Amino acid sequence: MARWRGGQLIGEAAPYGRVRLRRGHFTRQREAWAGNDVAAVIPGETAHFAHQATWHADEDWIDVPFIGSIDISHTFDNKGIKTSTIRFDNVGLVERAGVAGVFHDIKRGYYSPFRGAQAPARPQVFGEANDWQDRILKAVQIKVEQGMESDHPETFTGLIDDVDMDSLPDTITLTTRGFGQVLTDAHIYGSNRAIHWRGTPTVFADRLAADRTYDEGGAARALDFEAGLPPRYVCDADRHTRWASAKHDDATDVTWVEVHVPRGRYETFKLHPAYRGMRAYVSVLARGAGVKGGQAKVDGVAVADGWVDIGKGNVPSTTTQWIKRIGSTVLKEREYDFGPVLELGDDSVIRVYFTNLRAVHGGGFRASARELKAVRRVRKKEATDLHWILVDDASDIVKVMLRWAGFKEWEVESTGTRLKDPLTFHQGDFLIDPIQKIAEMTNYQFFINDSDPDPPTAAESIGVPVFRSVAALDPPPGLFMVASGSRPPRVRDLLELHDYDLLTGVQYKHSKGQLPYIIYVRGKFANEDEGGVPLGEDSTRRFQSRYTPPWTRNGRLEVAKHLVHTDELLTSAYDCEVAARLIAVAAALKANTVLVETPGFPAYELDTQISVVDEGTGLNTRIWIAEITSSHTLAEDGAKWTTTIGGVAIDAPDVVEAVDDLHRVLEDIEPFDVGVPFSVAGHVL
Amino acid sequence: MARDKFINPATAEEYPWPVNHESEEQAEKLRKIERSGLTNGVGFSRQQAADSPLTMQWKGTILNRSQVTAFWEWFALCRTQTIHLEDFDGQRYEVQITAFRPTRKRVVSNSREPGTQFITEYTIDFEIYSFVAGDMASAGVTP
Repeated sequence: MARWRGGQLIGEAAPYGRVRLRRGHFTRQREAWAGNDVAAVIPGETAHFAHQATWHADEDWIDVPFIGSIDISHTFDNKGIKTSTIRFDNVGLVERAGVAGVFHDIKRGYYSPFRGAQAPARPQVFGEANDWQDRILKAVQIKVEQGMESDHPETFTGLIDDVDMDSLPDTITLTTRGFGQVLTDAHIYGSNRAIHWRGTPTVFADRLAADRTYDEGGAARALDFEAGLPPRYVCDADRHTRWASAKHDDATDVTWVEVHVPRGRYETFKLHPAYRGMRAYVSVLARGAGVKGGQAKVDGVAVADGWVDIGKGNVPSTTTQWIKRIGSTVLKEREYDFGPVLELGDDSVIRVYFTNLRAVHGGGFRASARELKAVRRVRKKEATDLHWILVDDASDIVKVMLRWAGFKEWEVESTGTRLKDPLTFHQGDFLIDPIQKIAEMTNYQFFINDSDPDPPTAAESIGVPVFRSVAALDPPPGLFMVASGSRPPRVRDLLELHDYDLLTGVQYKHSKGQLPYIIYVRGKFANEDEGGVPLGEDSTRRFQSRYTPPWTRNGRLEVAKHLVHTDELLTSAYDCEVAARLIAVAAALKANTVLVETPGFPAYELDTQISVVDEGTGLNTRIWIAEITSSHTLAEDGAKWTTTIGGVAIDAPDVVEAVDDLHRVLEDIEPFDVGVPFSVAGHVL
Repeated sequence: MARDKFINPATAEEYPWPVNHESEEQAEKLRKIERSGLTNGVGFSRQQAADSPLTMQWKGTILNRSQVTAFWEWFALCRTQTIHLEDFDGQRYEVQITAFRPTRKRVVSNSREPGTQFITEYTIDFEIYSFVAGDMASAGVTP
């Protein structure tokens, strides 16, 4: 980096490029899974044994000689998959040991895949085949490394799409794409997915919604109880009845109530305390009667009959292990996760211990509860018959697709959203289609990065897919104030490009055509009492927002272009207010685009930010990178490596002010006047 | 004085030149630096290309018709392989003849070929692939 920053890429810092290739093949089968975790529940598979594609190398790398040029492009337009065009001389210099010493044969067309081949009824013209016959026509992995001779990380890996050959000069041009082409070109069919599902589409559904649920609990017992308030009342369906413990002398005493449950799968339980502020510990006595294999299971692992122990410790003042703790009870029924998934046999027990007992009238302390039930879950018949893939977070669908495509490592952010309805994909769909669907639903970005040189396993990596929320509006380093529950800042170090050291080209375009004058956002239908309003000739009443963007308020736009956006999914005026400001932010980003050229640099990445200062254009802004193209020529009479970055100017006034308006609506606070773009603490879109 | 000669390493065939070359242009090996202007208008960013190959250009006079023919034959051989060039000083190179430019010049008489009233002046260019023997080879230098 230090040498590159100096802008003098000579000597040891001279641009270096290397292209290697090796033949290989994919296997597609169920086998042990050693890649990143995939939390989806797939019929017939486990977390450690799953259907996957795997790229296998069939030989060691060999260098492609006489490289003339390497062009690489990485944009979101191409589904975030890199493409590369590599041109090299098709003339071989083959060393031979002659009678009078070593010399070289000069063979035109030496690397042609057809050289040496003899079709039926055709003469053998160009001599015998060599190592390169057919080589670049087979399944071949290409790897490009660029940088300096002492430091040249991988800048591309992928498969050959096209081979173009020219004469005079004799060259071969390889057109290649990253391994993400498996996502865009392979259908969700056959061995591209788990092959035992013939005849059914691929369905993703929410794991919890794929179950029928039954509240279970009977034969209630308790350590003690007040006369007239026996434990059986936690099992009836009447919320007006309750169990209450006997009076205790100390609030720190421990008492309990339990219910017995039939065999089945349990993940949650329902508790309706009668007092607030108690502390509760939940223990489970697992029995294996009736469970397949004769033993209860905790997260799929068989356990002997007894109190389930997951390492949480003992309930205070007892020798019984707990698996769930409720710090402070509330006065309503709530459903709680056990934590692990429990497969319990008949007459298993769910016991709730209470401490921090409530002081009662007349002295003493008690615990009390109105209802205690465990929720038995049974997979819906259609989920089983149709082999639904069950997920807890929408991002799990992305991980399944990536595993089927052959990726073992990725950076996939949880979206925090569950599927409302099942998503179905058919054999005509491609592996990329579910990923794009989830990206659209969540406003996330998808692209594929190069493998990281560290850790060492990256030697076999075919790329690192990235699925995450857009970094365009992440605040700059040092200006992020962490709010409760916010994600930690992603922008930690900002690469700075200045006109005096590295910038060899800058183009900045401000396009007023992208900016609306007034933005109306209309939501679902609403009557007048609910706040629904008509708009001009549209007499239907809907939730609505009318928003004047900052460029209109500040006199930077004079033509009255109205934008009306209608979306049935917006179910309140507030939703419309937020949507209007999001539209303004998107318009502001599109209106301020930048192209920057620097000497070749391998470390730029999509969906990141860099800082640019250029006097000629007056730019002093961060840029969110949406496109990277690199052109590297290696001829001795004119080698040059340039990288062009395309993106949006995040700190342009239009963008800054529009984002500020958005944050004010989201946080509902006054503007924070320090002249920096992000006036609101910690809210990342 | 020893003769300049061509050697075909594949067959050990040798061709001693009837007349050695007379002069040499400077041998040349270039290092190209690409300069790109910075957007502030001051200074450059520099990128260095790979070094060009070492080339030599010799000049001389041919008196025999057969030598002209032989040079053309060795030029043609260099289309598909490299050859060895050993000069009068014992410096031996692996080369490819990249240019041969003969020009006939009228003379009153050519003592080497009676009845012929011309000589041939020529320029011949070589690209050097390796140092096979001599000072540079001994020093371990590569072109």
